[in-house]
Amino acid sequence: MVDRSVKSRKEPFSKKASTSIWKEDADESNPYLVSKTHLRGYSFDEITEQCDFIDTFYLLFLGDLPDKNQKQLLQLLLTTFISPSPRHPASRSAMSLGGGKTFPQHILPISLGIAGGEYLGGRQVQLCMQLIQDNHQIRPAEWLEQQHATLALADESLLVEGRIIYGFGQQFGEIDPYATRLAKKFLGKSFSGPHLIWCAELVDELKSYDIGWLQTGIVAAVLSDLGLPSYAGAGLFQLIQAPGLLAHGLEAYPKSRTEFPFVSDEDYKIVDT
Amino acid sequence: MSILKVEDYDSLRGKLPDRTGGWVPGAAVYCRGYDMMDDLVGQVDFFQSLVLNITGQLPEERFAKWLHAAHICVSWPDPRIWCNQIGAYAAMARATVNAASSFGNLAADSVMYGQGTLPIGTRLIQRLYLQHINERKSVEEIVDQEIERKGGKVNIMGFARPLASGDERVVAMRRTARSLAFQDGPHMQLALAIEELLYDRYSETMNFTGYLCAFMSDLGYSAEQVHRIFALIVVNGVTASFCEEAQKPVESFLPLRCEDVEYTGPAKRALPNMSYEKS
Repeated sequence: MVDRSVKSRKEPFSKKASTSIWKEDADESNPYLVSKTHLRGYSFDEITEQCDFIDTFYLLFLGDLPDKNQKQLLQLLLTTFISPSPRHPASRSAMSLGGGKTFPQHILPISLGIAGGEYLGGRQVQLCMQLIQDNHQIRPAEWLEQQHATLALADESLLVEGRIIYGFGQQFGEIDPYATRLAKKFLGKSFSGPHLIWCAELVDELKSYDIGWLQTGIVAAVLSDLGLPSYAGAGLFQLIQAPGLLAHGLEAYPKSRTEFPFVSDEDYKIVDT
Repeated sequence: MSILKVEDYDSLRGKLPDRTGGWVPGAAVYCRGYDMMDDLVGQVDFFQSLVLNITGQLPEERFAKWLHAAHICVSWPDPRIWCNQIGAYAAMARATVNAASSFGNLAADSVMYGQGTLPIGTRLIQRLYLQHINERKSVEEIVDQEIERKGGKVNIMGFARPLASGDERVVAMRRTARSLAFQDGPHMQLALAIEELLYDRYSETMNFTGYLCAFMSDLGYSAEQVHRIFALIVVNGVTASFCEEAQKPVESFLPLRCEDVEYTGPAKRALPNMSYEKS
């Protein structure tokens, strides 16, 4: 007879949370207030005086200061993907929030939630990073050959959405020429890393499936080259796109609701009334 | 899903055809063939209308009562629970209740607890049931296979739980289901048999996710439908945690001295020469 009565496991929880990122030295008179801070061991006062945003960003997420190539790569990544297209669902959400006069503090978290999706969003970046990091030791042609049986049975709509070979697919029925163009900015440079080169070779092989780079695939490859784990991909993609999303929402905020499209009653068809 | 071409996209620009419902100003608000104001408002339960929107079918009233019970029993006013803690932090930060309830509820999109476990648990019990019936796998073979799949750990979605063994929610929900005249279907019978074996071997029982996924599978719902129907299942406890904390002074929810966060990073060090970037 199963007894479902509840008994505590008395798990040994830690008394304190811990972090290797940020150290706060307490004020002498009040232990809750801060006198000095250190980021990854470096005085934060000195960081604010001597480091720029890219150095600090890299230090925060990767634990040390970047070398010249790492810095150039991160700078190019943050600049290239600073804003999704105004037609991306996350940007459209941000604009809709502005137009709908949603409290401005909600514009960013809501639109970032949409930017976390499995199509052109953070979740796709994460899954693509996992795919790249698990397989980049195998030649792309060989890897694709191994996937032949899976791809033969794959749902075609998922394949073109980049949800079978994550990060590689189509947009609006074709290989995306703009994503292809963006990928070239990262290739053939002193900072081009092995994960990105592997993906570029994969894209050559994927032509027979009529799929190519999605922007998420580029971000996934670069984040992998920077040494980040796949689980960091979703949030970092959201963070990279955050400035553009907020900018679109803030631009929309002062506008009247009639400055946005609203589907007319004639163009809204209910099938079951 | 079909693959669209440029001309298909063009035909959809500025148009929303084939909708299941909506507002026709001056006429009615429609939902899946019902006139909402005349047929649904005051006539059906909130959860009946939710399931109608998700599945296209208006479920029977007793199922809505069961859904109410499920939403109550999994959503507690205890801010130690991860999602509820978001509600408490939102209150401490003087965020709005909408931010608290929405983000706290979102926090339960987790693989450890909450809504995030439901599609996984539903797919699992449906897969195991098919193996049991089609491949004639015994309950013992199923349990051994799942434990082996998890590297020897008793970590089967829907069974055992963090913090405690046993599950008072399953007891309450089985009592509720009986009072509403629901019988155990084949997925529930399999889940109960797995539970019995796990209890005999490891003193672990079915948890709320296991119960809910088996129950919903017996009613014919898919993993995606289960995730959608229970999308707001923890919002009650999150809102409770927000409201309780909103009455209190800021910074008073589990206040931390600087020393209460343990630093485990590099020792204090000098910045290297940063001039390379200017070269």
